[in-house]
Amino acid sequence: MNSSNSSLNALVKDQSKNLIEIHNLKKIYQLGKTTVEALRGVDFSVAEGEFTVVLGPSGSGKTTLLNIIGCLDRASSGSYLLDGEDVSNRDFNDLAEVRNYKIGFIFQNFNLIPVLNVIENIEFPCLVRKEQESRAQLRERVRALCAEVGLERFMKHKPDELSGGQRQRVAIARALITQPRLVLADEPTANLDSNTSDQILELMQRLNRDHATTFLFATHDPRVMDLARRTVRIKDGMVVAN
Amino acid sequence: MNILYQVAVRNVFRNRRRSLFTLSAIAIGLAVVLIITAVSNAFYRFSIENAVNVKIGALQIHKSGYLSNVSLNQLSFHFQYGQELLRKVESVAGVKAASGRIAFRGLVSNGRNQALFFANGVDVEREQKVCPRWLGTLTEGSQPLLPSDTGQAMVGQELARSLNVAPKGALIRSVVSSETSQQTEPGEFLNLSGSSPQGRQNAIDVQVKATTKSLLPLEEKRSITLPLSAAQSLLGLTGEVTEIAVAVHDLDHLEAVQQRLQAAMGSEFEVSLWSDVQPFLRDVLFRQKVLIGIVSFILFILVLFVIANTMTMAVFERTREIGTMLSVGIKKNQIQRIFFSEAIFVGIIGALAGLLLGLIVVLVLKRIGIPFGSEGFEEGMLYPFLQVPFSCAAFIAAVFCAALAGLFPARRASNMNPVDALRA
Ligand SMILES: Nc1ncnc2c1ncn2[C@@H]1O[C@H](COP(=O)(O)OP(=O)(O)O)[C@@H](O)[C@H]1O
Ligand SMILES: [Mg+2]
Repeated sequence: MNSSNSSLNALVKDQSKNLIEIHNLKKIYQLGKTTVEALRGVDFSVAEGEFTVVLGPSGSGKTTLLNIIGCLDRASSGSYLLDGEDVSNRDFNDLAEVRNYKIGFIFQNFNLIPVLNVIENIEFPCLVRKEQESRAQLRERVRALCAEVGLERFMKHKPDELSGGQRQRVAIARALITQPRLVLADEPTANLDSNTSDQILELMQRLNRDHATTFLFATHDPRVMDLARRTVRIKDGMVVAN
Repeated sequence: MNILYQVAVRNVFRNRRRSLFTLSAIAIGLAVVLIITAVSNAFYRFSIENAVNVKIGALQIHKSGYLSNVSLNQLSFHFQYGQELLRKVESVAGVKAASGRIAFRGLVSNGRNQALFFANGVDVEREQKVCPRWLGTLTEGSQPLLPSDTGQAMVGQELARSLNVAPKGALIRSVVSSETSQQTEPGEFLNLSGSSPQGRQNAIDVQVKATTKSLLPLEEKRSITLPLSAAQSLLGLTGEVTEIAVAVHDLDHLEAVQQRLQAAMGSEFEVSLWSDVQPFLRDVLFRQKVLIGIVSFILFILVLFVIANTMTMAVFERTREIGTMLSVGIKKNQIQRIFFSEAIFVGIIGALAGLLLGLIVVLVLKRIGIPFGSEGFEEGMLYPFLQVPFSCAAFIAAVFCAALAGLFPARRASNMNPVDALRA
C-alpha cells in the first residue's frame, strides 16, 4: 500500500518535472560601442509535455530566448537547466548531440536542405548521428511520420517543388524524427497564409498530444494564444505575464 | 553513401554553370601541364637521340684523365686501336657497337684564308653502327664519306662558305648565288694543319665531299669530319685513337652498361655517359625540365585559386543551410567534411576530364608529329609522349590542389556561428 503510493508519487513528480528551468537569464549583444540587452533577466520554466506559446511583439527577444533554449546560443548570464542538466556554459559544438537527441527546431523560413528530397530531409538528423538505427527501420519511421503530417504523396519531392505549408510539414517531421524531448518553433506560421497556418497549428497540437512532446512556440500573433493551454508574454526582454 | 557525401555531390550539380567553370579550370590546367610535359619529353628524347646517334654515341671510352684535361692537349691521351680492343668492348652485355675516333683541332686554309676547326677523325665503316645518323644532314650535291675514302672530308656549311669551297655537285648553285659578289668559283680542296701530341706540325690536303647542316651554329662554322686514317697520318698517330664511341641496345639502361663496361676496361680507361661528355646539353635539358616544372606549378596554383574562390562563394551562399544543419545537431567537422569532399569531388571529376583531354591531345600530336627546327632537317619532328607515372602524379597533384583549395572554405563554413548563420 505504502510502496504503491510512493511509486505513484514518483510518477506524478516525474510528470511535473520541469524540462526547462531558466533563472535570471540575460543576453547582451555588443554592437560596437552600444549594447543591446535582448534578454533582461528572464525567469521561466516549462514542464514536460506542455504546449507553451511565447507571445511578444517583434524585437521582444523571442528568437534570442529560443536560440538559447535550443543550445544554439549562450546566455550572457543566468542559469539554464535543460532536462536537469546545466547547459548554460557549454559551447554550441559541444551541444551538438544535445540538440540532435533532445531538441527539434521549426523555423519561420522552413530551412530545409534544398538538395535533399522530403524523405532525406526528414531523415537527416538521424543520419548524421554516430550510432544509427537500421536504414529500413528509419525509413519505416519516416513513412509513418509522413503519413501523420500528410506528406505521403510528396516523399520524393524536393523542397522547391512544395508549397509553404508542405515545407513546414517537412520541417515538423524533421523536428520529430529524433523523438526529441522538446520542439522549438520560432514563428513557424509567419510565412504562411491564415488557412495553412491554422492547419499547421492544429497539426502541432495534435503531435503534442499524441507524442507527448513538449512544444515551445514563439509568435507575435495574438490569435495563436487561444490555441495554447499556456501563454508566456514577453516584452523588451522580460517576461511580463505567465 | 553517407548523407554528407550525398549533400556534397548534389551541391556540385546544383550550380551547374559555376561547377562547369571550376571543372574546366582544373581540366584545362591539368591538360596543359600534360601537353607541355609531353612536348618537352619529345624534345628531350629528340635531343638525346640526336646527340647519341649523330655525334656523341651513348657511351665513350677514353684514357683515364681525358675528360678532366680539356685544357691540355687531349691528343696525348691516345691509345692503340685494334681488333682485340674492339672485341673486348663489344663483348660486354648491352653494347651494340663500338667505333674509334680522334677528336682534334687545328687550322684550315684554302690558300688565302685560314680558319679554326674542330675535327673528328672517324672509322667510317664502324661509325655507321655506333651513330646511325653520324652523317647528319648534308646539303644538296654532297656525297657521304665512304669506308674507302682516305683524303676526303665533310665540312660545316658555314665554314665551307667562308673558305669558298663546295662539293663538286654543288658548283652550279654556288655560282648562281654569288653572281653579284664577283666571287671566284668555289674550290674543292682544303689544307688542314695540326700538330702531333709531341707538337710536331703537319698538314694534309683534303677534298671537300660534303657540306653539313646542323642545329648548332658552332658546328656549321667549325666542324670537319674526315676518315680516321687521314687524321692518324696528319697527327702522327698511326694505329691509334683518342676515343671509342659505344652504342647500346637500350638507352634506358645506359648506366648499367656503363658500369659493366668500366669493369671490363679497367682503371686505365674511363667510360663516360653522353651527358658527361656533353654537360652543356645535359644542363640545357635540365633547365628546360625545371622551367616546365615551374610553369606547371603556377598553373596548379591558378587552378587552386579558382577552386578556392568558387568554394568560398558556395559557402557564403549556403550560410543558412549551414545554420540549419548545425541546428539539427551536425558537428563542425561534419560541415567541414561536406565542403571538403565537395572540393575533392570537383577535383576528381575535373582532373579526370583533364587527364582525358590531355591524353587525347598528346596521342593526336604523337600521331601527326610536330615539325621542329629549321627547314631542311628531315628528322626534325617531335613526337610527344607521356610516362604513366608522371600522368598519375599530375592527376593526383590536381586532385590534391582541389583538396587544398577546399580546406580554407571548409574551415570557414565549419567555424560559423549557428545563430548568425541562421539569421543570414
Ligand atoms: N546578433 C544580434 N546582434 C545585435 N542585436 C541583436 C542580435 N540579435 C537580436 N538582436 C536584438 O535583440 C533584440 C531581440 O531580438 P529577437 O530575439 O530577434 O526578437 P524577436 O524574435 O522577438 O523579434 C532586438 O532588439 C534585436 O535587434
Ligand atoms: Mg524572432
